[in-house]
Amino acid sequence: MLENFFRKPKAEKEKNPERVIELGTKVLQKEENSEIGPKRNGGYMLCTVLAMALAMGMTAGKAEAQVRGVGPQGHGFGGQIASEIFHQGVFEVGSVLNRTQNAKQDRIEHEYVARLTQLGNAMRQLDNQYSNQRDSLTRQGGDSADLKKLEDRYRTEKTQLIQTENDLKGEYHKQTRNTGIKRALTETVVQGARGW
Amino acid sequence: MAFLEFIKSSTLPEKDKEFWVLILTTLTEDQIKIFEDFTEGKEENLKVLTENIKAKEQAFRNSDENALEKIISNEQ
Repeated sequence: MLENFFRKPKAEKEKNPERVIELGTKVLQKEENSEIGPKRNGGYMLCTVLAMALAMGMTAGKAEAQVRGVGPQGHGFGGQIASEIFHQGVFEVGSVLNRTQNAKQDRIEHEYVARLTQLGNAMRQLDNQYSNQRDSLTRQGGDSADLKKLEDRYRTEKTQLIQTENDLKGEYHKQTRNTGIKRALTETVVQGARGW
Repeated sequence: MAFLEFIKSSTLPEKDKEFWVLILTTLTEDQIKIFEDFTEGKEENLKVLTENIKAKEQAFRNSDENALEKIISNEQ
């Protein structure tokens, strides 16, 4: 009966551990910041850890250790468990969480470089096009007004591309800065004294 | 042991009692104490806890963010 209750096949348990940890982090942080009384809050937080553990087919301590990324330096309840597991040699310090963050970082980096390259190519193409058009116009006897129009159009398009590049760089730094903040927040949670 | 006896003597379905027995094997005495204090010896509180864990476990298993949001908002 117990088997049927929550011990699902291993493949199913491991279907999406990163997602479970991501959700667990969010839920625990929300519960930590909630205005529920400490006793009730502690109870529900423990429920969350247990629920995650069951969903992932691991022990409650390991689930909490992974979701918080805590090591032996952790405080209170989570740190105590993490320390015990660590010394038993089966503790993976936030490995899944780190893997998820690294994957996200890699994806941001990859998209940034790809778009930057794309913009660089577009700028070179625009420069070449303008140069060719200007030569052609000169050869065909175009006057200064024609050349001025061509140059204005080129400058407008070039300015747009530069602006797009600046926006892209700004967005990239914003994303990477947020990741840094998230990591700092995790560290704070890990290092903060726990009252339960 | 007192908490285990409390669970066993409750009117929870047998499958829920077995569920708790396994949970207790994964917890330290301090952690069990949190649950024990939480229930205050009241079966209705034990049922709330049981349903909470089961609902969250299901939501985590399904990676169902909406379900988790609903559970947490009900807690608060």
